[in-house]
Formats: sequence, structure tokens, C-alpha cells
Amino acid sequence: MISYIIKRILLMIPTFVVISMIIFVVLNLAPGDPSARAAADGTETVSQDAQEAYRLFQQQFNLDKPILFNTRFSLSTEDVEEKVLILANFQRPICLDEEALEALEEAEEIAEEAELAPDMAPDGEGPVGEEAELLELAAEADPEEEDCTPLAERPSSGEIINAQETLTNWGNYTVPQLLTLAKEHERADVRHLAVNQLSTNARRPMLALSDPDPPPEIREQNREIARENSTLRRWQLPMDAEEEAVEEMLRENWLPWYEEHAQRFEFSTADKVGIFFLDTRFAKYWENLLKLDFGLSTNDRRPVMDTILDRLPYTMTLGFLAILLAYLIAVPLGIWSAYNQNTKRDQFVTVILFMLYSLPSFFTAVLLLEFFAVGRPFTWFPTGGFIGEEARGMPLLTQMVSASWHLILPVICLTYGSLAALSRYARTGILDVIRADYIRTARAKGLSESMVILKHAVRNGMIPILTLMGSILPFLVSGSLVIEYIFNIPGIGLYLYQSIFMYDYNAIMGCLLISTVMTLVGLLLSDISYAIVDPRITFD
Amino acid sequence: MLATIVSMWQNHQMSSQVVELNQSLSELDRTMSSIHRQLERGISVSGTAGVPGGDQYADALNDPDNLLEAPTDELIYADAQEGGTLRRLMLTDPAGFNWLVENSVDVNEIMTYVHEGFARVDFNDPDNYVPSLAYKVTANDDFTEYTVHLREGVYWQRPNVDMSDPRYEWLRERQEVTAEDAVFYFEMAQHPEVQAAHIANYVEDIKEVEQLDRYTFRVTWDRPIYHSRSTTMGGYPLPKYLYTRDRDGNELPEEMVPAEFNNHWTNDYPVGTGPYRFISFRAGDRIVLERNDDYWGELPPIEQIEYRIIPDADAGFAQLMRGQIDFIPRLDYSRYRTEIVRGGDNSPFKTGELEHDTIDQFAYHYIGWNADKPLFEDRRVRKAMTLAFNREAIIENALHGLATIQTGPYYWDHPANNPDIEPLPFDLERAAELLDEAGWVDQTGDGIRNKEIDGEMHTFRFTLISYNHRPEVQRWVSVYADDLRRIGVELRNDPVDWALMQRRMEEKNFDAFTGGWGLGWQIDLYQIWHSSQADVPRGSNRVGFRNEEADVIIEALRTEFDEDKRIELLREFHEIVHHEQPYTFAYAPKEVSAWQPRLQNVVFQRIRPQSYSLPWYISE
Repeated sequence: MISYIIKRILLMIPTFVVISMIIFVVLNLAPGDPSARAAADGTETVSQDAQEAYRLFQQQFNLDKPILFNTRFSLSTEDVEEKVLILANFQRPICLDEEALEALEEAEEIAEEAELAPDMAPDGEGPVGEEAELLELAAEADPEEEDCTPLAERPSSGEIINAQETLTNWGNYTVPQLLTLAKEHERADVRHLAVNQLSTNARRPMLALSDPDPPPEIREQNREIARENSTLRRWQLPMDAEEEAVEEMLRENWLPWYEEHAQRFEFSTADKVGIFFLDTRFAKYWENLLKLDFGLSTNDRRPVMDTILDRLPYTMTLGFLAILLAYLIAVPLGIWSAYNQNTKRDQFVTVILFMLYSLPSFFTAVLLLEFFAVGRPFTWFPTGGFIGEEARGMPLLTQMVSASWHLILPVICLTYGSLAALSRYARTGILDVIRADYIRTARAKGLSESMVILKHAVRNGMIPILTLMGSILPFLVSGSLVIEYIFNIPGIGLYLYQSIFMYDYNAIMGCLLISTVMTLVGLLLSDISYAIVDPRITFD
Repeated sequence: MLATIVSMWQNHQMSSQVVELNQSLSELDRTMSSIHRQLERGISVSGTAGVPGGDQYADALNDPDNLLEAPTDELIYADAQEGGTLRRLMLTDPAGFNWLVENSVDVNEIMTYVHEGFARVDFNDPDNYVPSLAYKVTANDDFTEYTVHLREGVYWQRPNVDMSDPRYEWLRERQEVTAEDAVFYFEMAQHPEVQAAHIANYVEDIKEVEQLDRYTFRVTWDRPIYHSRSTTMGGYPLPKYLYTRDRDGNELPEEMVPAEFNNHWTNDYPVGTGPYRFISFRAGDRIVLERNDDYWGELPPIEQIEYRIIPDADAGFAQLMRGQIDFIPRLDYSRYRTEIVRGGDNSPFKTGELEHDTIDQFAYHYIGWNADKPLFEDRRVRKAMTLAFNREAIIENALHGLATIQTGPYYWDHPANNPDIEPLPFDLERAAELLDEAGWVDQTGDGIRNKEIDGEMHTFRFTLISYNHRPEVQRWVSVYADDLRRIGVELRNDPVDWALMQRRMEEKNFDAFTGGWGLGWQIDLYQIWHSSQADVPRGSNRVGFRNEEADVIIEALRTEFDEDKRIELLREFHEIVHHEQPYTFAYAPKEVSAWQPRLQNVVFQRIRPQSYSLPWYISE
């Protein structure tokens, strides 16, 4: 038995890893990310160009890293060049194509004529309409100049955003490549962009940023990083700076800096293997998970674990009461049905139970609220929440009474749906054993009917229903999204609901993983309970 | 067993008595302090003139150089009844309480109770600034140098930490608000490591902020720019003595301050100088604010404000009905319909159980047309789209009358609206004519219009990305689609989540979308309407509005400080936008607030936060 339990527990670990990986990947592949948020009414305020804040946000929540595997150490200069080129092409003026050039020449001629003979142009206004526009274009962009992007090659908005984001996310790994570009690329604007991008990518992220009280060693390291970062941040130039200034920046600052820190960017094979598996979102997540840390919520920046622990008692109380009530009603009802098998009474109860089963709980919940809480017609129960205002700070007994008063409606909603299934299990369980030989024997030896049922039939017939408890266990912690939402009970379900809405990855992961663990534990417990209840079953 | 129950019961009795005793004691305490306060108030009303310093602050308002003016709004109602707790509804947990980093409406609203800016906007006349922490602000002639004089003797509230813990001993001493805290605010706002994206663009033109003496500082701007006025005066001090220290009071190294600012430990214990103090926040439950009895200004009557966090609108209304909360800022549309529009004599709003009022939301909704697509590059097509949009019927039916027709990008009651502009009527015939004129005619006989552009046949069929979380938006989109079909245009609705919607807009991968902009009283058109913003990745000019005339106006507005000239320019711009129809301006929504009649003097302000509760009081 012991060895079986140990085996099962060991098996739980890889199962858990795989489940967490699946949830993680699915979550991270969903379109959109937590940094995009609108007000609840669908209006937004003018968004500012917030590159830097966005980058910090991504970095803080590891959203800049690849999801499962990191191959960034193998990026080539060409890969980086491709992205920088997109940005550079976007910043150059658009070339005039041949057609436009011809039109331009024509316009110029017309303009010249107009100048020569001012009286030909009406009201002396000079060239009008399209010609004027072309003239302006001509003034802006010299057609002979080569530094321009043909209209067809102009990158789209999506490409630019993508290039910018990818480059920034590549972070430290691309420092050597950017430096090569800055030194060697034939286009001056690409060299300039590469220098500016270096100033972003060479910066190192701070450690344990989300911890408001970091330990002193981390503080010391962070201090070092902060000092370096603030220097590096200054080593860039506005796009209208002279070419020589860029050269000088590179020569005076970047090259000596790189020489000094070159070992940071040289990776041995062991390093590469480490990076491949470990410098990823998933690995970082797991690193925290091993410390029982679910990370920070991207929404309120509080530790997810704290919030879950805060909310767990509410959900557990609600879940426990609902399960308890369901069993208290369903088991006797099942036994009674079994005893009255196929009678009108049995059929009547079955129909009622299935009607209840088919009523969606969110619908019932709103109806119950309206009928019994709002005052149409009754105000028997409170409208929501876990405990009444008046009971706060009161003695324990008063608090318990208040809480149970608040929980009656939600518990009803959570319970009635499961009655049908549970009572069916109980009924089948009894029917299975009731014709068994030992029941006949018990009757034959003259035991009273109640003794026969309670001691012999129920104990044997209830094995399936007992083991069912194991699979209900996760319900204790995962809570009910809908019921908690409607009755405003601040439990895990409500938290999960809100987190999904806000794209709060860490919070969603936290909630789901807690119920994963509980499911695994529940399955184990139900297996063990088999063995305990029924001595015939062994796992050895 | 019995013994256990009996002892539990006895225990219960005893602790009940203790609790009762405690309650009557605190009741007594409250009565005492209430009397105390009323006495004080009597003194302050009758004897302001005698208080030294009081004069100095009042006199400063007579200084012609002072940009601040005497307030015309009366925030504290003189005959208010003292005390009580105001319980108001909030739909979601606020994202945090770092005033500079968080910028949601909820957090901003709480900030207006707990903290104050250097100057605040006069609620009655939002173009004027009135004294708050500063009593005097002067500027040079071209508005590039502002000198701000702070009030003396204003103290920071103490963070509401557990003072029995010896590690917080260093917080015991009161700290005065000084110009150093003001300079610190600008430093943090400008620092790239601080995640204050919403303000970064506004402060980027600040050249220097220097402290002149303990209570005076100067903000120097690179160039004259209109928003410098509101950015300078609307700023607020931040408690430097807290943000530069860790939990135990040890100084942080200077270079670490901005990096740690975002997640600083005090973010859980926000402080300010305002009329209320932050007491506690429990996620999913409530935020508690308590009146700050050390407040330097006049104290509001309500003693405690509790924000109850209730995400479900039905549950919130149920609690209002039961008197468990006092105020709901926004009723659901469906609730408004069943209780107020169609509610019979039994409706709580008729029987006097509840009261309600309709107020403007500072926002407008619109449909944006992607002018870079061949479908909508023609002005006439966009105008036809607006003509086919039955705004009146939609407001009447889908929104239950809770909206005003919008014709331009300003709040409808703002003087910048051009009085000559009439909203385009709902006129399908005219719309069809315009489409004909633009060359869109049905050539294939399938009922949908076509046009040849650059040798390619286009069909007038477009996808409208719409925000899927607002049922009323979905309702009117379907009405609109029906009307468009009658003039040979096919609209396909694509309801999506915000995150996805934003991505598609950023990638310019759309024909049209439904959007909404939040509005302020101060108008800056640059981000949304300047042509340069149409090509900036992630820019707000998503529809590709490029108009040279408009650009000239927008640039002029950036440096124009004269109010009359601004209004003139803004009205001109309104005309251009009306002519060009880059958006189909839809409507400015209103919201219905409901409250318990125990709340008295419930007045709403003209600008955000409209339901600012300082003038309210509670009658028991």
C-alpha cells in the first residue's frame, strides 16, 4: 500500500508538469496580452507613446521571453539586420515612382510657365490641386536622392510594430549583432538605428523587481545594474544627429564598453543548453513555482498566492457546505428510491430531480435573489456577500450565524444540480447489493429491516459514492465562477472570472494549478479510500 | 456535549457584552469629536481674519499675476449634518494605489479624496484653476516658466501601517509637504524607469524643475506649449521621504529609487494631503476612507466613505434596494428600462424609496472609417455612412434615450462646439445619392454596390470590428447593418475582445471599427487628429485622417494660450471634421446614478469626478 501511494505521488509530479505546460502554452498563445486594457464602458483615453513603460511591463512579467524554448543565442547578424532594416525603411521618405516623376516634371513645367506668364494662372494663385501637391512632394523629397523607400516596399504598421517588439524582446542576446551592424552596415541610418537600439538592448533587467522588500544582496546587484543602465540609456542620439556624432558615440562609448563586457555575450555549449531550456517564460514560471510563488498579478501587482490564500476560506466554506448538504439529501433519497424502486413515488422524485438538474444555476440564482432578497416579494435573505455588515467585529457565534444566513441561497444553487446524479449513484449502489446473498442471510437470521439496511446494505452499497468524494474535492478550491459572481462572494471563482477578463496570466495559472493539484490529490484519495472501505481491494 | 454548548453560549454572552461596551465607548468618542469639530468650525467661520497666514493666502488671489482664481464652486455645504458612512458601489478592484503609475478612472477618483494637486480646476468654470496645495502660481509671458508657491504647514498623512510593529517607528513623526516633494513628482514622472506612460508625453517638454526655497519651485519648459498650464498646475507632490526609503526606514541608493518606485512598499498604504485618509483595501470586498481630521481645508460632513466592490450589476442594485449601499454611480441599461422607463407606480423610484439623476459621461462613441482603404477614402462615402446611421432612433431605442448626438470630438456642452453645425439627419436617399456620386453603383445586380478602382472591381462589403463586451453596441450595430443593406452596402459585424481589437487597429488591419474616447475639459487634438500621428506605429490616429488645414489649426492650438482664440480655432476644426467625416460621430452616453434618500444634497459636478461627494451629507 505504502509503495503504491509513493508510486502514485511520484507519478503526480510529471502529470502536474505536463498539465501546467499545457495550460501555460494555451494561455500564452491566446491573442492579446495583459498590457492591452480598455475601460469597462469601451472607451479609452488617448494612449501615449509608451515604448519604455511597455518594455518594462513585458520584462517584469517575463513576457519578452520565448514561451518554451529559447534559441536567441543563435541569432545571426542577418536576422537582426532584417528587423532593423524594416525600421530604417519606415523612417525614410517614400520614393516617387516613375509615373509620379513624370507627373512631377509636368507640374514643374506648368509651374514654370505660370511663373513666366503670371496672367495665365487665374487670380495669380499659381498651380492648384494635384499639381500643387506634387510640387510640395518635390520640395520635400529630392527625386535623385537614393535614400528613399519605394512605396511598394514601405513596411506596414503591423510589420513595424512586430519588428520593434521582436528587436526589443531579443534583449541582451543581440548586442554583438547590433554592434556589428553599427560598425559595418553600409547605410548610415541603419548604423544609427543600431546604436540607438543597443542603448535599449544592452541594458540588463533588474532582479526581483516585483519584491517591495528585496534582500540586501539583490539590492546591491540591482544597484550595480541600475547604475550601468542609466549610463547606457544616455548612449543614443536623436535621429537628426550628424553621422559623425554617431560614429563618435560608437567609438568612444560602445566599443570600449563591449570590450570590457564581451564575456557576457559569449556562450559555451553548456550555456546554450541552459538558455535553450531555462531562459524561457515557462522555465521562469516554474522556477517561481518551485518556491511556491505564483508570481505577481499583472492586474494589481500583488502576489497571486496572497490573493488566493485570502480568498480560499470563502470558497472552501461554500464548497464544503454545498457538498455536505448534497450528500445529506442525496444519500437518504437514493436509499429511499432504491427501496421504492419503480413505484410512482420513485418516478415522481426522479422527475423532480432531473428537472432541478436541468435548471441552470445562474438562472436560478438571479431568480432566488429577486424573490427572496430584493423584496419582490420577500426580503428573507441578504443580497450577497459572505457575512453581514452588522456582524463584523462581533463574537464568533454571531459571525457564524450571519455567514450561514448569507450562504443559504448560494449553497442551494450549488447543491440542487448535483442531487440527481448523487442520488442516482446511491440508488444504484443499494440496488446492486440489496439482492446479494448476505442481505438475504441477514434477513434470514432475523435482523430488523432497519439493521439490514443500515448495517449491511448501506455500508456496502455506498462504496462508489464515497469514492466519488475524491473527485468532488477540486470543487472545494476551484469554486463556482457564476455563483460567486452573482452572490458577490469574494472567492477563487470570482477571482478567476475577473482574471480571465483582464488577461491576468499569473492569476489564471494560479487558480487553475490549485485545482489541478486538488484533482490529483482527490483521485489519489479516492483510490486509497477504496482500499480502506473495501478490504478486498489491494494495490499491492 | 451539553457543557460545551453551555460554555460556548456563556462565552458568547460575555464577548457580546465586551463588544457592546466597546461600541458605546467609540460612540461616545465620536460624539465628542463631532462636538469638537462643530465648535472649531464655528470659530473658523467667525474668525478667519484673525488667523495669521490666512490673509496671505487670500491676498495672493488678488495678485494680478496669480494664475489661480478664487473658487466659485462651493464644495462644502454649510447646513450639512455631521457624520455617517457613505457606502458607494465600485465594479472592480482598483489596480493599485500608486497615483502616478495607475491611471484608471477608479484610482483617479479615490485620489481626489485622498490627495490633492497644486491647483484644482473650478468645478463650475473648468477653464479656471483655483488654489489647492499651491496658493499662488505665476508664469512668464510666453508660459515657459511657472513658479509655484505652496502652502505652509500642510502635512503628509501617515501611511496606515501597523504602528505597533517597531520597524515602522520611523514613521511616527509628521512630515510637512515641501517643494522637494513637488520636484520629486516631476522627477518620477519624467524618469523612463517609472511606468507612468499616461503622463510621459506631457512631461517630456519640461526642461527643468528646481526648488527655489522650502515651499517654492519653478518648472521650466523647453518651448511654449498649451498643456504646460494644466500639466504644471495639475501635478501633485509625492512623499519623497517615503519613496526614498525601504520599509525599515533605510535610505535607498539614489539610482534605485525610480526602479523601485513602481512596486514600492507604500503602494499598499497610499497617502496624500486630502480631506480623507486611506484606511484599508480588501480585494473583492471594499476600500475604506476615513475623514482626515488634520486636513488643512474645510472638512466635509461625511465621516467615512466605503467603496463596496460588487462586480455584478444585479447584486449591486439588490443591495441598493435593501439599503446596504447608498449610491450606485451607473445603473445598467436594462435596469434603467425596467425600473425607471417602464417601472409602474410600484417602482422604487416612484415610491420615493430611491432617487436617481442622469449625468453626462465624459466620453463619446463613434465608428472609425479606415481612410487608407479604397472603400472609405472618399469623403462622400463617409458622409453617406453617417447619413445612413439613424442616431436618433438608436439613442431612443437601443440606449433608452441615455445619450446625446455627437457631431465632433468635444464634450457636447463645451464652448468649443461650433454652434453652426447641425447633426447630419438620418437620410437614406441622400446617402444613396452620395454613393452614386462617388461612383459606387450596383453593376452585378446582386443588390450590393460596386466600383472599379485602379482596374480592380471592388464590392461595397466591409467588416466592422466592434467591442463585444457592450450589449448596446451590438444592438445598434445590427440596426445599422439593416439600414445599410437598404442602400446596397453590406456590413459584416465582427464582435471581438478589446485586446484583439487593439491589435487589429495597431496593424491597420480593419475597414471600420466602433470606438469610444474618454473626454476631458482640456482639449488636445494632436494625438488623434494630426496627420503625423497617422503613420506612427501604435498612434491614435488610426483612421488615417490627413488634412493640411486641420494640421495647421492643431499646431496653432498647441501654442495658443488665449481662450477666445482657442475657441475660434477649435470651432474651425470642428467644421473640418464635420465636413470630412473621418468618424461617424455617434453619441455621447449619459449614465443614471441612483441613491438612497438618506443621502442629502446629492449634487453632481460638471466635470469628472461628477459624483464627488464632498457636498453630500447623510441624514439619519
